[in-house]
Amino acid sequence: MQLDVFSIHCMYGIITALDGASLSVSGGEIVGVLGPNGSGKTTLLRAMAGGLQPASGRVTLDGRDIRTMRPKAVARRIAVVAQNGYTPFSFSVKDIVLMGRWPHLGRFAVETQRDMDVVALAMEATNVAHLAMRPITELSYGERQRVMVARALAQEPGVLLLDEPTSHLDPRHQVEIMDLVWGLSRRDGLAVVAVLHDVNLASQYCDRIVMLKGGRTVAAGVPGEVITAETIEDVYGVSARVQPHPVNGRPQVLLVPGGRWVTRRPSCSREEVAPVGDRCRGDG
Amino acid sequence: MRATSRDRNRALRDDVRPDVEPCAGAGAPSGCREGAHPVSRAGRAGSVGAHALRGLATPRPVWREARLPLLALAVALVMVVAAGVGSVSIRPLEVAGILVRRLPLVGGRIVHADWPASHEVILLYVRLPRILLAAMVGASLSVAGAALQGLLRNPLADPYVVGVSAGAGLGATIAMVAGVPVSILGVGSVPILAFVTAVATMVVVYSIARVSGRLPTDTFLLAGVVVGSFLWALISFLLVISGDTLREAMMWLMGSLSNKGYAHVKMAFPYIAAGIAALVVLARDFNLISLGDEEARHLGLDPEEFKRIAILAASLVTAAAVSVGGIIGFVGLVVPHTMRLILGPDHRVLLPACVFAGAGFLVAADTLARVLVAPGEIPVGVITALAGGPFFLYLLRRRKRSGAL
Repeated sequence: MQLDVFSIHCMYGIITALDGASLSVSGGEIVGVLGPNGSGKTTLLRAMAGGLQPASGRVTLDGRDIRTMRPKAVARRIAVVAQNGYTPFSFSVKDIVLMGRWPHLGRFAVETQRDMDVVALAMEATNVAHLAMRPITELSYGERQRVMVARALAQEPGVLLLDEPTSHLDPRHQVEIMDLVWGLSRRDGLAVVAVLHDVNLASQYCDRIVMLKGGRTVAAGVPGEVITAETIEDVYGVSARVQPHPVNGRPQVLLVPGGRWVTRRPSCSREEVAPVGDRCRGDG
Repeated sequence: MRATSRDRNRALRDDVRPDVEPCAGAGAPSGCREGAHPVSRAGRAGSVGAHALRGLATPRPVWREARLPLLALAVALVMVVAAGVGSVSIRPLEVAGILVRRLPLVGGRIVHADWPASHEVILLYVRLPRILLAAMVGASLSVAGAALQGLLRNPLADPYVVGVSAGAGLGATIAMVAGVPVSILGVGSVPILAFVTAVATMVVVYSIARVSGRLPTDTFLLAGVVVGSFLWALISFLLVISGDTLREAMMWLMGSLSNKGYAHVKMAFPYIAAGIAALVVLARDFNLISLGDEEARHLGLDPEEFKRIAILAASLVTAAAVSVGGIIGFVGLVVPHTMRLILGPDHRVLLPACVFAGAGFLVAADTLARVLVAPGEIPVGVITALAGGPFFLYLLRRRKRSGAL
């Protein structure tokens, strides 16, 4: 499945959130979307899922404009793991994952054994099967995140959109989620777009990376091209060194503390610049 | 069973992870083994995953399958018993006999009339319409409450947050104060005017809360509360300047089912039946929307379209119930919560359960309302609050440790 975004513009009221961003992803590939807070990453994801009408530009799924498709038809092809999937009601994990079957069911249809099998396997793949009867409200953040991925898989999508799937997760769970996503794209041919905050994680797992800044695409390409000290400094406004990963050679970013912001403080001289978080000596 | 399935799950996991991890770590996709889609595998009969997990997908105790029929049966029993209670006492079996005899075609052949004719008249023309009305109103308020709590993702929501009750109250008060002498098909001006103003209020609240084609949940709640307060002020003003209708109006505003007949049942039934049917059919959509508008949208539900239909249905049901029963409090808040605590939040079970439980609860409460201080009457709204409150608090305390709704 092929999802393309052609230079879309999105507005919230008078605020421009996306100013001509483009992206395309096809089956078996993971595209990472990077950028500072407020650069339009989540907006881009929402537009790709058809939940937001762009003011101009197009989003097409296998060449078909997503605006011409019914939400239910979109949900059979595109699954989203959003942030803050919060409900005050204590649905069981299985009930939540079962909701992923909704776009496949008719108004009066009852879930078949196949629906149940899809749900069970989605829970298995995300390692939440043992939580099936637990209320979602009692789970830890990491467990909940995996349940949300399970629900997305239950939709049997061709495209998987992830909004910061690893934020708030410890390193082990980060790797677990990203390994899972990686496997889904490689073995099952899913097209994956993941909004990520962790540049190094993105570098490890993504085939291509799109950098957003102020709603525009400022860099796009394979991690080796995009993740450079210059783009990191330009996009995030921090000093960085980029080194190859000792195992696989993918670029890894090392932040240089201080560099840009601390030195601006008038009470600090250049020599006094300490690692970020430390106060400079003049500060009392 | 549990232990073995868990072991199998673990075995499966261990089976899956190795072909993912080394590849991902090495960043060398080409070396990866081709494997099956963990989800699409389900389509194949006899695959290991599907087999191992079948047990997990379907274990349900028998009572879980039978809970709705059991609830319906309990409500029917409550109604039969309630019909026998009053100044003239009728045994439950006799009540059942009288009712069965009225069945078309077969009724007369199953049971023979061995009861005084007066019992039949009292039951069919005095108690039964009131019981039917109580059941309808209770079912309406409960199911509307459950629907709005799910829709607004707010456990404090009840059918009255939309402002419909205040709207109905204003219409009823105007009818009583002005003494409008209209009557349509045996129904007085009070329920008719109450229904009209209730629906009008719903339209006003909805239009106020609508912002460029969208209906933000919080705005809707606020608009409902504010419009409601405004209308309550108008009601108070009317009551103060009216004087002599105060007692009658207070009884109505507190909720009462006295002096009602089949005409009221017929008036409210179409709206209540259609509204409840719509809400129950939409049960699965309510599950989705209770995760949030955005999440529902991602699962393929158009949240705005859904909210429009759901709010219309819930408000219509509430308007019809309030116009014949007055503003009976607590039912729409406590019954949904109680059912959610007992049966869980799945609206496919919750909404029908609220229909039955709400009906049974209000029939029981109304029976107490008419017999406790007989020949006087207590407003049934007082009973619902007195009886429902402590029971709900007990449930809440018991479930408090789980910290969830």
